[in-house]
Amino acid sequence: MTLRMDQVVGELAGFIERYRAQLAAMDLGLDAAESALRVWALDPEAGNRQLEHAMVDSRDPYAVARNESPLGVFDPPERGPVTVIASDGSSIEPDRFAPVQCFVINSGYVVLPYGVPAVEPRLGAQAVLGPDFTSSPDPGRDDGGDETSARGWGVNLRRDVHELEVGAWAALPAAESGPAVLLYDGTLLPWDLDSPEVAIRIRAELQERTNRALDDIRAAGTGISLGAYVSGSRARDVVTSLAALSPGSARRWPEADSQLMYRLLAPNQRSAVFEARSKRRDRIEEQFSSHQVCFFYLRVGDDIARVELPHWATAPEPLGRLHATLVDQCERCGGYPRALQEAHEQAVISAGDRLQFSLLLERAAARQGLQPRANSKQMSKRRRAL
Amino acid sequence: MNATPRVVEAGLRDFQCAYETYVEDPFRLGQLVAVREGPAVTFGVVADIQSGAEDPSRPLQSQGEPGQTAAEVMAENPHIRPLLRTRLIVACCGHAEGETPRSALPPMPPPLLALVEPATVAETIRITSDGAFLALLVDSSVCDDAVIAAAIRNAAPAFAAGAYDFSVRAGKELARLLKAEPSRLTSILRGVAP
Repeated sequence: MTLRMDQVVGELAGFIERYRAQLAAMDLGLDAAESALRVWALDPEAGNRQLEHAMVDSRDPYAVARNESPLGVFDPPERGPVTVIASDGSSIEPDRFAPVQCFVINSGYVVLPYGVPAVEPRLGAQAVLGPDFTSSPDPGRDDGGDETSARGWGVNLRRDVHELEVGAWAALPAAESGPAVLLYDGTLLPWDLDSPEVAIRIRAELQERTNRALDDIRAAGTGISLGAYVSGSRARDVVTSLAALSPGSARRWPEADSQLMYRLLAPNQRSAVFEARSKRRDRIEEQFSSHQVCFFYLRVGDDIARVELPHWATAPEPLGRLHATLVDQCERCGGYPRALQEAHEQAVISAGDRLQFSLLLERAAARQGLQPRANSKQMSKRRRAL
Repeated sequence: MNATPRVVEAGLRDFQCAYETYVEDPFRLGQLVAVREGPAVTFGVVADIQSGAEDPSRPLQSQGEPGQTAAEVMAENPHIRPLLRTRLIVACCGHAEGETPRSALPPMPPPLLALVEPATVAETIRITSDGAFLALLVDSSVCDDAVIAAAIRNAAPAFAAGAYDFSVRAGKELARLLKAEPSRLTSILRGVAP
């Protein structure tokens, strides 16, 4: 045993007591937040105008009301026949001890028809090896990361974009055979697009690819619903807006929108659709002006999930289909969408696969005269013997 | 979807093959199959059939509403079928280098990922007619009495009007092979009887 339990167990009772005191204080904050939401719902437009002013000089993300009352709660409509498509990704990061530094991105996907006989169920994955050494890097050309170093390659960002592309690739043919719902895990837009560690040329390329994938999905029309699912969301756009709408309030506001939504939503209900807004400079959303991010909250059991979708996917028909499908998918998989779970399973790169790839890379490099750099720490980790 | 299984583990005495997914109508127990890739054609008898989850860490859970058929449960849960596999264990009982099949172990295991197909009627007759293939099955660690009986039952129709004579020849060969194990002989012969 490496954790000395005796050093922490004695503190647990006091720790939990302090947490309970915080919960009591949070109730007061939730009361205030709910009151502010009710006031906002009386005149959403006036509230939105107030928020526009509050956003200036703030880096915080805000929620702005759209067509639905910010206080609105909605039951799921009946689910009809639908094909659910999902993708999720994983990656092997560059290993600085490897003879050749490279990365692997593996995007799993599923196509699951429910009452759509024309569509065959499919589960699979697409893997890519990178970076592309055929294009010439631009080291230190700008204030972005250095493309000649592995850190600047933006593996996480590339993975997010690849997931998006693979999802669109799998969804578009299925959508031709009937209503479809495309699900992603996490936020809709890849946030690393503004990461200064990623070379700016790579960010620009990936931004273009992201836009193209979203454009393709949009072009498929209202027959396809799109949602990016964040389980256990800690976002606080709505709370930030409510605080801004209640200037001078000394209340301690909830730490996350989910705390407020848990109070408002019954199981399977969704909140109103809000628009994610911010005035901060260089924000990601500005790079995707035609795909403005909206979101709603969905209660699944005790979990409050945030579901992000582009503004063009908020029409009643695709929105209702998305809501009904998410509820059905979560019922099938213990509170998390079945399609996302299976896409994740397809994407996972096991420890065995990682080791095998590492050995294959070493062998392939050795055949061309490249040897791994001997490193005592790495060797020691591999050995682990007493 | 390719409904022909491929070799996934290979040895001289037996090999495993798998369909790409779960199939409800795989080769039958005791069916004579052939692998026609590699330096020799390998013949074998289906000794076991297993269907289940491909990933042992994700076993299939019993599910479905009361009264629902398997097909209805599968349609309700379309992710399940692609995650299932049907696997077969085949006991080797002959091979052919050139035109002449022999009731002897192949000189080398069948190639991995080679297609496994049903043996033709002509191949079945040539491999099984003298009953010599039974010696390999009797000695196989993957064949029990039920497999040997099923192999004889499955081969018999290939002989058409000579099916009865083939069964008698096979019975005599078994009696010779199992003269020290009369209870096993009885068990197999009961399995062969119509």
